[in-house]
Amino acid sequence: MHSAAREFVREMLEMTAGPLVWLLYLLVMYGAAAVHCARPAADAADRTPLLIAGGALGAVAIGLLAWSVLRARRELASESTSDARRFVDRVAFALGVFGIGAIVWTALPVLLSPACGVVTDAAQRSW
Amino acid sequence: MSIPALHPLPRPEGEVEQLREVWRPPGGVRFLTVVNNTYIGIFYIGTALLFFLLAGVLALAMRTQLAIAENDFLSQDAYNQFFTMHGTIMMFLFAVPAVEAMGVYLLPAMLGARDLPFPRLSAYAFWAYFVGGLLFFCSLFFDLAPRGGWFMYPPLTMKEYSPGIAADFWLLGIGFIEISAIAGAVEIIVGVLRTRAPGMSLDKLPIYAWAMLVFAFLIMLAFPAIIVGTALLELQRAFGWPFFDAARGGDPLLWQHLFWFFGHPEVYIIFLPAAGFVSMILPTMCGVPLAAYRLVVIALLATGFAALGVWVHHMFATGIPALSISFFSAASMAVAVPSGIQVFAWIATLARGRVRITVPTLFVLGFLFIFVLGGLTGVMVGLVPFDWQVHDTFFVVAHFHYVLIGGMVFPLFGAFYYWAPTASLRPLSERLGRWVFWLLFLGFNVAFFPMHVTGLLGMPRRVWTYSADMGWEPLNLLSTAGAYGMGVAVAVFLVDLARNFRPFHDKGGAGDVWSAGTLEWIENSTYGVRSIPVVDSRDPLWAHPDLADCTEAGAYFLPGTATGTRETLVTSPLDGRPEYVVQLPGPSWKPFVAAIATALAFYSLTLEMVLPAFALGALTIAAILAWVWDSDRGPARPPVDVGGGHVVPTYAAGRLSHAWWGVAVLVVVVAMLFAALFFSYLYLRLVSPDVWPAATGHALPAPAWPIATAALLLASGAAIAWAGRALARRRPGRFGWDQPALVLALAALVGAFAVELVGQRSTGLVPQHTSYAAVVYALIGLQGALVFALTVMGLYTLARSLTGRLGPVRRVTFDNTRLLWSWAVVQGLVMTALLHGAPRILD
Repeated sequence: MHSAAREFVREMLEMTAGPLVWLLYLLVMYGAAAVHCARPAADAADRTPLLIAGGALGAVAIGLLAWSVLRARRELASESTSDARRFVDRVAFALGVFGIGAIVWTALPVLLSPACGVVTDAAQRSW
Repeated sequence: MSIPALHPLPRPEGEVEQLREVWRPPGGVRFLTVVNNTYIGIFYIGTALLFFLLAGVLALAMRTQLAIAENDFLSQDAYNQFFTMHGTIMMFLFAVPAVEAMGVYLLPAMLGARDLPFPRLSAYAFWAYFVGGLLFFCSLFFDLAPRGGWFMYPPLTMKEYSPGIAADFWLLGIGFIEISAIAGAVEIIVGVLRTRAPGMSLDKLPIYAWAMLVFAFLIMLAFPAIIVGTALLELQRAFGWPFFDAARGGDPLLWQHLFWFFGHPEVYIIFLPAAGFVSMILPTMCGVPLAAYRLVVIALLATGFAALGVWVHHMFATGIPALSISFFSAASMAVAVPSGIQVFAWIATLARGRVRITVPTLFVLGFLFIFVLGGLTGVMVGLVPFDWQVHDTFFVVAHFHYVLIGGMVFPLFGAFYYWAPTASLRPLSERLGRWVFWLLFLGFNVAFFPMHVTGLLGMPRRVWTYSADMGWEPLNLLSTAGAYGMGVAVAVFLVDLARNFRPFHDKGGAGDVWSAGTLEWIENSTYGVRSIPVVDSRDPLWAHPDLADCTEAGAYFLPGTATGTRETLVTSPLDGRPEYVVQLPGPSWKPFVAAIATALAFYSLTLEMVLPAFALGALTIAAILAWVWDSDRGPARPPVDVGGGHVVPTYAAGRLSHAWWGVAVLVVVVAMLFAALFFSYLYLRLVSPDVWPAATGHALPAPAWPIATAALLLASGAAIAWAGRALARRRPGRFGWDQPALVLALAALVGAFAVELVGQRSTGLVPQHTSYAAVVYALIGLQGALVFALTVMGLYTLARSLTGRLGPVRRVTFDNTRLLWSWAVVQGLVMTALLHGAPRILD
């Protein structure tokens, strides 16, 4: 790829890593929950696989974003970059922090909500 | 302090006259062939307003029907058609086109460009929308309008329950209009990233351009899902492929997933540009820069991503597992954070400045009040238990009108009043504007606030009448009175337009009547600004009060026409460095003919006139090929001095070229189409394993078939890469291996498609039998459509090569074709792996 184009795509991916990783985490967890809940009812009632998957994937996603946030902070500390690059790094930093918070927030239902089954009044009473 | 002139002033005599001559619109009937954004943008906005009026009339008819209990003003069937057409027109033919049109009109001036990078594409998108939209509306006069609601859920919209062709009008008409929206998005993405004024780096980009960038990315990512959805439902209605028929392994919920993966981002697609209007109007009216610019950019980006992750909140009542809906409930509530950031930034801007209460300010304040209320009820319906209580009631109708009218219509009217002086010799009237605002604001709240209560009292949406003893009558009467108030507001606005709006003048508009800070307020003619200014601030006209005069005097880049043709400067995407001058195409009948033919082809298909549809399809392709034939002019001119000793080329190929970026956006659109079908395959496998081969015993094609497909695809990829290298080495007038390599690549690509199709058919797989078979053929069909497009593009590239229009330097056509080709190879390989691997691995 023409070097400037490649550089720009890389910058944009770094800048939006926070919400991008969050979105991927949400989609993967939604898919995992759907697959888990398609299993026979007895297996589906056990939330352990989802807790493990959610925790492990969450840790990887948060680790990635923590790396991205630290990278942006390191770039910001160096004074040689242009205004545009500093802007991109500042946005990357803030969106990275936002992404980490969003992942934790979105993962909470794995801990707090029953895994499968349509929610009914009877099911709500049994929680 | 001024920005120094790049060359001596005054400029030579005749320079500006030449510029004007090059950009002069054609007269008489050829005026229809104009392509530049100052004309197409206003046509577009006018057409969107027309659809707003038409859908508004339908709304008034519905409100008249509901004003009193057991009314018979409209029949049940007419009411069903009216609410379907009202929602569909407002969302697809007014809201999205209106904000896209404002972008087409405003962005070049705001970015300091002479036009958008693909003017003929804008013209094509507009005419396709204009003709297609009017034909769609006319279905109402022939009792052919759809009745399934704006989201057209199956099973209601399946052939069994919606016979006739009314639903097909929706499916083909709307699917086609989405293509027009995507064309606009390509323009906007490439325009914002590549045609900014020198020095306008990303940190100095007007906030509206950021909003439009996120808007266009959302269109690119979300609209393919609805195109796939409409295609699948049409395949089911026309040919009996059972994607949504539970008896044959389909699932109506698949439609809801595809629809809402588009439908929720659609809300932000409408809202984000409107938020961009607000972020531009407020600083001007307060006389201070926007507070927390960077945080607002962050909020726009976060909202854009969040928009893609909340579609299931429209499906809380469908029986999806508890955990799944909890994820989306959490995500939906998280959207409040970036939305809140924007609201607080606007409040802070208001607090910092001295607010001028003008008509645009009133509309912005009205927006803040209404949108915050709509946002709060949005958080309420984001809570699953509350959502269940109010699902399908008038509470939801109130909520989304607060979001959509508050979040989009109020800022849009504010934007009309604010930016009208850039287009019209006279600004719109402040006096009439205040009448419009107060009538609209009061009318809106009187119409829609009571609906919260009507909904809580249990009135379902979409009922054509109700019994007097339900107790809903007084509230409904109030809502109807409010709706008529809104109608009067719109009528006053039309009077204002008729009295004061005078566009299409050589001089541009009335000028900077608000003392604003951004570039669109520099005197703008058909050719845009006289010279393209250097930008070193977010509010350049405030930072340099003489910038407008210097720009007008020709002090900066491209003060005349450097190439003797229409042109603009292409700059680097991150920091806005000049890279090359792009020669832009001028007026032409070709995009006009292509657009009309496309629209008529789709409607011929709806009316089951297959032969005319094919003829019109062929005419479309011919007109498009004729239009692009002279687009790649090659480096006919040497590099030119664009000002201040900056000498840049007049041609660029490969990844530097803006055209390559346009095709890259198109590749993402195609990838999203494929992703939507890929998801459909996995979804149907999850919900209906009993129709998959392991359960039915249906044999899969023998492994030799996918191996042959993959080998042919790889061969095609290798051959196209070889063609690229051969083209780079080719000498003028000599034989090059690029031509045989291209033929070989094409043969292998078509062969791979044929092998896959024949392989599946050889097992006796029939698409009408099961959802498995249907989705297999749908995936192959998408690949087939891509192979067809590449066949046309490949033969076109070959024709250019044979006529001496392709070479080692003049190679944009080849590079663009190769980019899409590479994706076709990747898509083919992934599809082959899915179709042959998934049934073997998953089962």
